[in-house]
Amino acid sequence: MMIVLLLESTFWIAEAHENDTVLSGSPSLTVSQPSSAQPQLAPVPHPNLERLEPLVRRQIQSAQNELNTLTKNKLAAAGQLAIAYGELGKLYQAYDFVEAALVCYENAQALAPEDYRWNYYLAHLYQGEGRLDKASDYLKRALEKRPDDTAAVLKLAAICFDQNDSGVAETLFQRVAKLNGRSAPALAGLGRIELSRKQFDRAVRYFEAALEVDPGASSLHYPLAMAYRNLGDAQKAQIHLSKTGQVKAQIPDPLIEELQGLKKGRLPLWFQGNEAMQAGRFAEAAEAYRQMSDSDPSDPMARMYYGTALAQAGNTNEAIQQFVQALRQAPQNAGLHYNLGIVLLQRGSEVESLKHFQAAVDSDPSFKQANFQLANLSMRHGRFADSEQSYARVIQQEPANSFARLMQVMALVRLKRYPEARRLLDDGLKALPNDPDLTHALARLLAACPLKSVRDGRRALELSQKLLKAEKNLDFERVQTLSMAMAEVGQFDQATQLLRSVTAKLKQLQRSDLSRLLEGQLVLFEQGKASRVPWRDDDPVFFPVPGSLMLITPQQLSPMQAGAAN
Amino acid sequence: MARAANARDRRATGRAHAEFHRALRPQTEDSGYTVLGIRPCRRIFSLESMNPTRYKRSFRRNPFRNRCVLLVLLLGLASAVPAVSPSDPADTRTQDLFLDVASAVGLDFLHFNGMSGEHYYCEMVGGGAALFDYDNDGDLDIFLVQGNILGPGKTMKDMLFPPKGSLPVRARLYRNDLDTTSHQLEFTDVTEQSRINAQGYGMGVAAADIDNDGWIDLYMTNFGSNQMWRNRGDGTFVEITQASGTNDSRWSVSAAFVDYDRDGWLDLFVGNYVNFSFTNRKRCFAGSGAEDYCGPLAYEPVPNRLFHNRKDGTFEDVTAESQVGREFNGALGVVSADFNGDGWLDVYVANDQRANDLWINQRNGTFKNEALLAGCAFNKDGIPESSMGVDAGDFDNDGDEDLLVTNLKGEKITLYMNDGKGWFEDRSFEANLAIASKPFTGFGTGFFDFDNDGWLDIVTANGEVRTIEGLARAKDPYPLHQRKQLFRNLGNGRYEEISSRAGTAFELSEVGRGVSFGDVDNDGDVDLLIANNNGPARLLLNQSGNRQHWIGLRMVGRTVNRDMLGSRLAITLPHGQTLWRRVHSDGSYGSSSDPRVLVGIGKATRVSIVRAYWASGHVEEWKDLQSNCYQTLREGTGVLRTAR
Repeated sequence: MMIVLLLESTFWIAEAHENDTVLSGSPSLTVSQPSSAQPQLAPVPHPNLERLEPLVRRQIQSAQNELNTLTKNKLAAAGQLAIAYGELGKLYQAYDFVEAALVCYENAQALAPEDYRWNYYLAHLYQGEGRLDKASDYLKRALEKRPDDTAAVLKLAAICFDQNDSGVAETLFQRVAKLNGRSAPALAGLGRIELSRKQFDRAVRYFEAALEVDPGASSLHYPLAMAYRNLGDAQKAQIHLSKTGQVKAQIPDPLIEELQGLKKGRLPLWFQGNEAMQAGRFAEAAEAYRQMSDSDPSDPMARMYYGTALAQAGNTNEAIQQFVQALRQAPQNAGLHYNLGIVLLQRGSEVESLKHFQAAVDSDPSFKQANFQLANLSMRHGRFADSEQSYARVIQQEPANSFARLMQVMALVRLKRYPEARRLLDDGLKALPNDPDLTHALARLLAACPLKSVRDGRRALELSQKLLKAEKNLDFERVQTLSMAMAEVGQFDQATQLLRSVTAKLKQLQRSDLSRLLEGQLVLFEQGKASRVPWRDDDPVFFPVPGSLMLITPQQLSPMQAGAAN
Repeated sequence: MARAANARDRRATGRAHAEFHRALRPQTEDSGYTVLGIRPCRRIFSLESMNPTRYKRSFRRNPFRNRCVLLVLLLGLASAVPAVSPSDPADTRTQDLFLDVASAVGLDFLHFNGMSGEHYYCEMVGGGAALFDYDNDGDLDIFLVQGNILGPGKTMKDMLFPPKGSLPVRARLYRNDLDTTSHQLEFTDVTEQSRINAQGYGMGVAAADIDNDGWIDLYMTNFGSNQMWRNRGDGTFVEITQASGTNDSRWSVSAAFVDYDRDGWLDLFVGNYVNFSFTNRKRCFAGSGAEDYCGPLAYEPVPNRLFHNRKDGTFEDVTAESQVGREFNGALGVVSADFNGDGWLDVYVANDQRANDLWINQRNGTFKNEALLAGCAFNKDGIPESSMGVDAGDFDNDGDEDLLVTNLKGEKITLYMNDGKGWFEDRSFEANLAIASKPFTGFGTGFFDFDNDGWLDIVTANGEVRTIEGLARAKDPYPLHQRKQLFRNLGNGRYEEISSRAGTAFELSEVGRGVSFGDVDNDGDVDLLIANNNGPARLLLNQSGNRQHWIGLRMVGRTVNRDMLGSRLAITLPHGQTLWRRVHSDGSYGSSSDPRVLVGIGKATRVSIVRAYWASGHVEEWKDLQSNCYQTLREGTGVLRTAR
């Protein structure tokens, strides 16, 4: 028995059988078929392996050779050949050669239709390609062999739903739910069906149940929010919208997971590490990056990935070691400096971390996160001019960053550049109207600026009153500003009265530290003088405290930051 | 059918219903078109009478062309004609629905993307096209955006696809020399005469009259500084980017002119993408290890811009005050419409792989992004999609603006159905659009009624952004191309893909990007101008749309001869069915379309009422309009109705 393969250089099987050519020069060639009564097989496209790492190339070539040998062996059984096609298909799939993988699986499935795996992989690939009819057919075949395979049932249910067959989809989701009452994907699927039927209360119940099982499936908050919205519960809708993320309900899928294990070489490790990082599985990411780094210790990027994952996993000592070592290899690497700066800052080594943020910005002046940290630390360390410039760069890239806007103004205040500070506050409030911190800062500056040309008591009073009206809880600083504005417009009695009552209250609350701050001002007002010190030099606003410090992941870095250009 | 019944019910109970009944009150002003400001019915051109040999095809005579007089006689029979219903698909099986005539009519534009093998992100993102009447001669001219050499130190020698057309490489303006006597469609490259010297790296274009002088101006979005070109009214343009204050050096793709403050002057919303530059460029790889294009998440999104028209030829950047700079997610598509039915224009922004934005006009110069709660930020599963092209239109004829978004392969075309209050539901699967579109990466798109049956159909220009494995293996030098798709509205909330019947132009595999919509040959159906990346522009003439009746409306201002973009029209047919359309040139992808409103009215032979909801807030109406011709309706010449 012979099979016909197209004569095309890109089809590797054809190449492999060049010696078997019977009809030289013919548009097709015939090669020997390994065993009798086998179905017609399609030629497998020959992907370009040139760009692959040698290790990976060898891995694929080995599988190709194995198949090649079998196809030449006239005694090879169909089952053997099916496995060879299937294994090669798995490798192609693992390395994203979808088209080649599809042909391999089609052949494997034709040779061994009873093998569940090839049907399943085919369905998975066709689903990814958007060819749902084919995916559905193969899943049905797979389920004939393993009727209770949860992954296959869930996949088929999702496809049926997408094909507007919600009745079948519902039956399938319920089948999984019966098998496993705590299957989040099944519950979520049922929720989606109810949502599409406008049965919003039922949808809510299913989504809530799915989230109870899998609280990390953040994407479910969105359809849940839509269900609440349609039920008229805007508050709950907003709560769930704020929790919306992109993590889907996890479907245990052993066959697909198996593909991950096939991947070799640095690039798959990199992808694997990235994926784990995105999913917050930092230890797993660190392991992938470690292997990547070990395979080429001279690569500073791999060390950086490794160090970042370690730091995220909480192993700061080892992370610092990796960063330091990597910086020896790539001293201009902005990302490395930044992440080392963050880890050092987490450990309280502010001076050291400031140096690294500075180095990061020197390497890449547009590095937003580095500028932000540099600005904050510069402020804490009294380097106000540097701080002001760094905040300005942050605002340029992120105009809605109200904290940076406020702090830039504060730096200008310390530099006594009051007119600029006022202009920036006005601009800031145009961009972020009603921002309470910017409004408050403007009111304070207008009330107590040493420069007369900057002061505007009436506006200060108006802003302060508006602010206090809008805020539920009386804030000590806001009240202080109101008293300053009152004094500026000559309402000394009211200002005095207000401060007295606040001071008394603070004493009552045993906050003598705060009440002492007001006493000096009280004396001024009692003397009929307005304040000319908008903020004392030791005001906490000039000493921003590091909050949650975000490491930058290597994937977020530009080459300049990541040092790829090195 | 249940869907259509629901739509009718809603229409009957909604605002439109009340206004419809007010419109039925006896009027005395409907005695003559002159009084109402409607130009006498004027058919300018018919495709059938063009020289057939030019197109290597003969055309069947359209039974409805130039028959306004005859139709008046037939008005009495109108009651026997049913309301609009989807056309019979059998009608469209006999011939190609569209025919590419670009090269035959002198449209020799070839897009040059400046690629040199470096996989610069921007090289596969452009470009767009515009259909607009720059010389006010009643037919649509063409502007095509061009790329340029990309990359530091690169020269023409480095280019993988050196430009084949005339040099210098720049955007091109083609004048439509539609001859009403000989009925020949011919385009002439007038770039040189027009003095438009756009040699930046072009992405898209928006066309509108910014200074209310009656001449349409152009705003070009670029990878690099954008450009504003003022139409001087004498066939030439002058660049006024700096003088007008509309420069934006960030990477912009789509822009929309929108009179957001109802002051009668068009403001400008510019959608900006990400901060890719040659200095912060990243290298990205496919799973196979081959270098490939990066996605948008590799870069930071940059803020959009809103420019307020100062009425003196200059604009003020009000991005901050208007709040539209607060949230930005990498815009590729922009469309403006009144999504919540409050009479004020809102803006929807299609963002690539991040949440889309719905900027709801707060009626005080500010906007608020309400996309999340409105249900149009993500797909139905709560996942952001790679949104590129966008359009707004009333696909289910229920009186509100629905949304259409094209996305990446593996995602789908997303159809957000408006519930009339500005809340949306992703109905892509139910509408039968999702499955057919999943294997494609869609860019330019739009709602348009290609067969004039009164129901809005959909077209998408497709083309990948990542290497297609099979094409690369076949040594294709630019392995991103895909075919276009055409979807017919079945009138029951569902669509049917009919690409295979749409003509050979739909079989061509190209890297489709911008699509511009307009009746290029003034024959009463909507033609398509397709801008391909690294490929030729295509002009797809509609071959069959005008077999059904239509009405063409140009809506101009009270004192200015400007298209009143953003105005909405309620077109009521003799049987009481009302179709809602909007005057617009925005939407699609980096492209600008014919601002005239061409409404397919199916078997109806006349229109009972056209009610205009002007962007200014006024409402007025005209009665008993003839079909199968273009008419100009001027603000203030109709019967005034209660304003919103």
